[in-house]
Amino acid sequence: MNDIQTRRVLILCEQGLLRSGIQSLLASDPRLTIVGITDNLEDARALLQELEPDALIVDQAHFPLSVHTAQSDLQLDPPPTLVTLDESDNRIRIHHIQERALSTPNELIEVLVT
Amino acid sequence: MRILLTDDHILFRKGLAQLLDAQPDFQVVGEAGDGMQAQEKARELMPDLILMDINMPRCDGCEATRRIKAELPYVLIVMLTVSDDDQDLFTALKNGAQGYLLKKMEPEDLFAQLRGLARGEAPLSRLLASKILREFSRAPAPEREMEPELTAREHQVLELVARGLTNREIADKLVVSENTVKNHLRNILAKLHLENRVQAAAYALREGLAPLRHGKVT
Repeated sequence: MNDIQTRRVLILCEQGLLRSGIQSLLASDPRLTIVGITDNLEDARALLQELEPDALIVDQAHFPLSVHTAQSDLQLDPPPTLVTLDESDNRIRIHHIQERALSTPNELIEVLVT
Repeated sequence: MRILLTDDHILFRKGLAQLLDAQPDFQVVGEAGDGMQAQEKARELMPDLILMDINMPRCDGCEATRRIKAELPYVLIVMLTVSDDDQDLFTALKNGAQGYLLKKMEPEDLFAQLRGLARGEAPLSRLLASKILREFSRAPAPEREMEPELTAREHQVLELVARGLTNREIADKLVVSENTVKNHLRNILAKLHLENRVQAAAYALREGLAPLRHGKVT
């Protein structure tokens, strides 16, 4: 019996190459399951409600704060961990509060699984 | 095709490396986080192709392209960027880039464009191709020197290149093989002292050898 709990992740990213690249990087970790992937906010809202993922990864450059608002509107309980990516300085932000520098993809994975 | 990836965004670079390495005909041989590193790695690894971001610290992608092409003219460089700014596009091409692609494209489109590059085609989004054609068609025709001696067939191929057709599409129109079109294109580039089909298209428009027009070529 497989009792490993995987963290269910939804990805919202406008850039096709970055979106697929992140999906590929995360898919190789058995602790994570990519449950959804989209390039627009409207679909992301629907997927959030339908799938109730544990974590949501957002491309900050194209969806600034709007996701946070959408997430609040949906009143998910518990709310998914919101991880925003900032391409300009290789940093990630968690719930718009914590901020971490990113030097390898594994650091993103560790944030998602903890 | 041995590829050097140059991009300062770690997740983008690592993700793209994984996507490319999963393809049987692509191999990522190195990565660089800025233009200076790209120049060093290009010298060390001698890749077939460099995928180059533009906005990077220390040395941007346009300047890195200029330096690398000056030192290693046979290395192919394709810009891969979020910028659809005219200035970036024309600077990159002027500095020797063989193509210019936007990061919002899907992986399969990127793979197809890179495979086209191996066949002598220029990776370029359609939007950016039209910008180039518009820009050159506005430019005044310079004093003509020696008229290059293109054959009638080469003129036809050049005109179709200027209209944005791929080698396959040109082959279909002229009822010849794709290899024949490639050979014509090689001859055209050699005769006109040009590096790629984008330059050939721009040349054709500038010189009035292949004005933009609609309709079938007979």
